[in-house]
Amino acid sequence: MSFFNLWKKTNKKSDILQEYYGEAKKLKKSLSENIKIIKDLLGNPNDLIIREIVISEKGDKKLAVIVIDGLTNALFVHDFILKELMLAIRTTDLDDEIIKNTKFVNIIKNHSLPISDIDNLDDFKKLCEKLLSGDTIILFDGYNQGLVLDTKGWKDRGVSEPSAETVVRGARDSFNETIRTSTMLIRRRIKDINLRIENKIIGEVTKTNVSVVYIDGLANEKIINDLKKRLEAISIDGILESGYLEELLINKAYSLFPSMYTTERPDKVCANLLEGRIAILTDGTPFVLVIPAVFIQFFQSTEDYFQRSIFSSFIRLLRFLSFFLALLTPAVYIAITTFHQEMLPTNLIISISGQRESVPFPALIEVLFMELTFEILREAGLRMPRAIGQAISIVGALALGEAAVNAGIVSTIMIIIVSITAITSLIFPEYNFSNPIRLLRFMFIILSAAFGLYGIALGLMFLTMHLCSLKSFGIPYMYPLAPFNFKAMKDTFIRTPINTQFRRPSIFVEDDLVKQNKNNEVIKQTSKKGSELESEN
Amino acid sequence: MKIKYFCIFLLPFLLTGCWSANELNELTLITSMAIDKEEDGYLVTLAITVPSEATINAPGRSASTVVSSTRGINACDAFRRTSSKISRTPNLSHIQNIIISEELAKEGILPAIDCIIRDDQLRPTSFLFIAKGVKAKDVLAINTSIEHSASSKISQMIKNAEVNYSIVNAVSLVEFINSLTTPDKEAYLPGIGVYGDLEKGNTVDNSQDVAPSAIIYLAPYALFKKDKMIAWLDDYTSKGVNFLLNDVKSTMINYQCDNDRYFVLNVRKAKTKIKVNTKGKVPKFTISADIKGTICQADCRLDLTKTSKVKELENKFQRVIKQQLQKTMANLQTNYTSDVLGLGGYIHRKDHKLWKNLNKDWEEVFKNLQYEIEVKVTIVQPGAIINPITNDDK
Repeated sequence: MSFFNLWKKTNKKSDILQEYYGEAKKLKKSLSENIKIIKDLLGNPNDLIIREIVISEKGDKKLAVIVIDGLTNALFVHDFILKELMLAIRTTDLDDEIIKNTKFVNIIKNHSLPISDIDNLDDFKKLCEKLLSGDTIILFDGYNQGLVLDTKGWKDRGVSEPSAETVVRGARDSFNETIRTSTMLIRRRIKDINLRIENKIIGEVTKTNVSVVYIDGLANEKIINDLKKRLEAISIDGILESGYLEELLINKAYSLFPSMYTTERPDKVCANLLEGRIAILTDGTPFVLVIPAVFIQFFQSTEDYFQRSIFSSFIRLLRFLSFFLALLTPAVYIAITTFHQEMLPTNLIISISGQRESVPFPALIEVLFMELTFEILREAGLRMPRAIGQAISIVGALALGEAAVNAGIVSTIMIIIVSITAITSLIFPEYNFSNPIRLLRFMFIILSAAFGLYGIALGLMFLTMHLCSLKSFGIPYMYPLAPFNFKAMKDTFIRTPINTQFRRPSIFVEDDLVKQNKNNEVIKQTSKKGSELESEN
Repeated sequence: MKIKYFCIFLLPFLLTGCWSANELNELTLITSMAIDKEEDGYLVTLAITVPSEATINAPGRSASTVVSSTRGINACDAFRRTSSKISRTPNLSHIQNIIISEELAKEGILPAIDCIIRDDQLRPTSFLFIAKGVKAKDVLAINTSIEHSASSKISQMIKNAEVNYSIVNAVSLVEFINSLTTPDKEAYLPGIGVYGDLEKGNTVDNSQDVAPSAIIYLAPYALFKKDKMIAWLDDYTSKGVNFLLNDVKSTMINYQCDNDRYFVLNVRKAKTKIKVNTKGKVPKFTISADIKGTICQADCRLDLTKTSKVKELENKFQRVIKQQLQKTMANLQTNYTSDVLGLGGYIHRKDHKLWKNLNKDWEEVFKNLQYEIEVKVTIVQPGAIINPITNDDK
């Protein structure tokens, strides 16, 4: 409660804020007055650096360089702003006629500052925003104008290996928390004039940079406009992670299945851009959203395209199998052992019932106990400090393993089932996708405990209905399965070789469908008789 | 509106529920069943698995299967009464074998079998046997090695016999009921018996001994007329019946070439076709058997490297098999007058009007059926060695 009260209080803007932080509150002419207002606006913080300098010998041309320490590249400010203004400028005769006739601000802007991104400024709102995002402000005494210089430079994590989506073969870079680095990584891969990066600032307080990236001519116009409209409609105090946007942008916020693809891999984003999808980059997080997302997408890894197609196809089929194993194994175990004992081979049922002899609980309790234990261990494993990780994992292995069996709390087969579900739910290239499976698994466990295989069948039916009803930015979630598209089957359950894939998925792309030119002479030749090198061999 | 749809979604869940759920450790798995006829009713014996003893990690101190017999005025009554002796709900879905005593089979098997086939849990693929020389319940009480119980031993044994022996084959419940209910076919069932000491056979020691005191074996077919058993076949006729039924997978054929010396054919493939010609007054059958095999033993001197000699041997085997089939047919026609081959069915399918006429006194017609037997034997290869290892000149 107190938190909300506090919020209300700060929301009541103080007098100074009301006076100068509006749209039309222009800068004053007096430098000292301006500085005072800035100090008041920001509360005169420790990291606010205001360097007042005099540049003319007479002492009549005063200016102030204002930076926030830590957000700017200190060396850069020193070398290319302060040095220029304080030393290099002395060689110019400021009293020269031509110079006298032009405005002092423009002289400094056009002649003295060797900085690429420079802009004029005349109100406090823009001043504060730029100052707080790491730019350098120069204010002049006697002018109600200032300059904004792009000197952003802060401690950055650097481009490191992706932690959530690893590959054996493929690029090893990942996005980081700085949006500029992220756009750089995309630009490095797609050097097309049609690559559009549109910026937007979202968040009343955080003023987070959000970039919408797409390839003009490939991405569906309707989806882009829809997305922009939805971004426009967002009014929130802060965006700290792309997860905020994900929930703000989607229709069915209560569906378990992700309707946006989240990734930290630039190569994945680029592949999606080439298919006509749209990426949303958020400052402050390495995770990029890709829309529209379809169900099948979560079974595909970038590495599928880097390996030989037969092997990739095998791996993909394996993922589909794992999906059902992760979802249904415990449920089927319950259904078969409590309802359909006749379905197992006699020797197996005898063996299972022998193991279950000493277990005092019904199969449902046994399964829930083990699955919940695993979920707790998994969550604890994610959150705990690394240093005590080992101790916990030993305890976890013991609790889940031998000890539980020996104590007669669970049967050995239960350990196998929990292990299968645990491993299979981690096979998906997109980590988010295992979350709906984890939750639905419990739904299926309850269904099977109450209704047996019949319940599982009903559950699967409703799941299918739900999935078919989902849409991601107007695109059916189950595409290309429902609505069925035969051509897209080349890259769904299996992946055919790249030289057989000529078209982009028609559902995302507006009109430029050709991915690979079929009539290309080289392709024709190689696909007909193999390249010369091959035939020589 | 949404609530309405949600209610419709909930409807299918009303069709079923937890009431049919049974925890595994509240069930008792029954792997075999034996039915005996007693003076004042029926004796039903169940082979009950002891799960903790049947698993790999079992200590092996006690038997993995226990047997429980209960009397009742009829089969169903007796079966229900077993619950007064068992601590858990019996689960019949894993019954592999049903053994019926000879006396009961001779009096008529239907009263015992109806209760079994009517049960919704019991598999129609479980095997039926007739106990030969012992009570049906005694067979289940024999402790065995290799397999963990008599039940699994019996079902494995009959599968093995089918593949390697072909004197008796498994007959499932559904097959048996089919032959009972069709008028153009008679039923047959494999027999099962016990050699040795029944008393010692049901101890745990029996499975631990190198030479067990008692052992279960498969006996040749028992023939039925309607639902009554009429006779036991011997090995020779039983194999003949299997040949005629086109049920031989692999077996051996002996040809005596000399006093105490044999050529043995290891049958690898056998196909018997029965055709009927209903053009004449009396239907005429053509039975043709095509048999392929290897030589499994050769005691007499014969140069098997020569094609002509192999041909000679083939002809000899042909004669042996033809004789066996002829004897079998004669036996079935005159001694037992039981149409286990379903020859009536062949007429029925070919010419149903004729069958309507013949049906009335099929027994008489069957006795005098005309048939012709053609046998073709091909020796595919002589085995790892070619010529016989003999040191005499014969």
